[in-house]
Amino acid sequence: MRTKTITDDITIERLEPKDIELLAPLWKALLDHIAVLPDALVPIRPFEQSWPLERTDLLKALEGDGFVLVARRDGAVVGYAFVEVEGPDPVWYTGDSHAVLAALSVADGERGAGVGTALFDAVDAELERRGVEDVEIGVDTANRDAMRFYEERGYRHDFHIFYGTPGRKPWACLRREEEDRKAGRGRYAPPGPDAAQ
Amino acid sequence: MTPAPHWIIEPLSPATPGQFTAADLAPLEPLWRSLMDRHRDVWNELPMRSYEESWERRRAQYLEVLAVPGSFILVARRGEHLIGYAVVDIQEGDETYTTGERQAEIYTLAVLPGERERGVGAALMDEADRRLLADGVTDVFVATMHGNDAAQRFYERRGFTPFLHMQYRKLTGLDGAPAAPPPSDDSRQED
Repeated sequence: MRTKTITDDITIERLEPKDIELLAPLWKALLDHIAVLPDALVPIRPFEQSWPLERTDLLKALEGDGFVLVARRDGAVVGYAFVEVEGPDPVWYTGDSHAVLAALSVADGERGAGVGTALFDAVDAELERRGVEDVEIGVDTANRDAMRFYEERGYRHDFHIFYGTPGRKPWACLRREEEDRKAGRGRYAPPGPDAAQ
Repeated sequence: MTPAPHWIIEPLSPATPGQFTAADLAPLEPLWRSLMDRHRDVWNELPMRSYEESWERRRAQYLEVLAVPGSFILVARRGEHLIGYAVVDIQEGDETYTTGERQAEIYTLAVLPGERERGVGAALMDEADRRLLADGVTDVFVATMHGNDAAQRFYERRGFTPFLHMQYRKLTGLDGAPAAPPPSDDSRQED
């Protein structure tokens, strides 16, 4: 896809796999955003653990039918949308493929400035171009603004994802987070010498 | 009055050990249909595929799941009759949440309508839990259909909590404009 000017200063372009590292700061922004939501339930990984896993997922999706759209303002990367394209749903009468919006991230200082909307519009246009009519997205329980954003765009709930630990035991993810907190590692590691302040 | 014969929980075993085929899964089809009926009752945003087409596609997904080491399928059997089943998918740890190296998804849990509210689903989950813990898997995810309040309560009683919500939209009538008016700002993110 050629670069497309959405507004005077926001442009949207398709990400090439070789530029994958452009997304790293925005993935971190997304994790940081979810991590501090007041009602967040399932703790999230520190960026250093999460990014290699996410990068692997991204590259795998880009080898197939998935795509990433990057938003730039005056040349600087300010957001991206990651869309996975999967086969037909086994139950519901989707088309031969359906899309999952796996991530939408907007840089910290750029929220509320139309970047998310521009990305969303570009995702819709790209899916329409491909003839994909069905889209699914996931949003954290605590991310109420995001849920409203999607509802305003015509999205309706279909599934709710639950987390638990077998045998009605205390949540393993919370235990891991508590261990990290006590040991001062993971998300609780003190900032290293490279940490930008 | 003679009490109804009791039921047992057991793993479904393929005819050829270690290799599931479509024929091995055939006895599950009526149970899958009953789950489709339940979903149709609670969520009607989209039309459903035919039973036959849906089962064919779902069966193909099960075969993929069951080819992954650690994944398993349990059935509840009353005499010769299957009255429920559970498919448990073992996956790599999540990229975002602090799960272990491996995690599980309850891929399907279904009980025939006439056999619900009798502890069959709980017994299937108890056995799944036992196997997962023995295998060192401590993180479990499961999706319930919006509106399936009984399923939601069932998992909540077992210590599960909904933390992520899937939302769906059909892109229709797009000519460059979104189906709904764009919101006033975009100060949100999601994963």
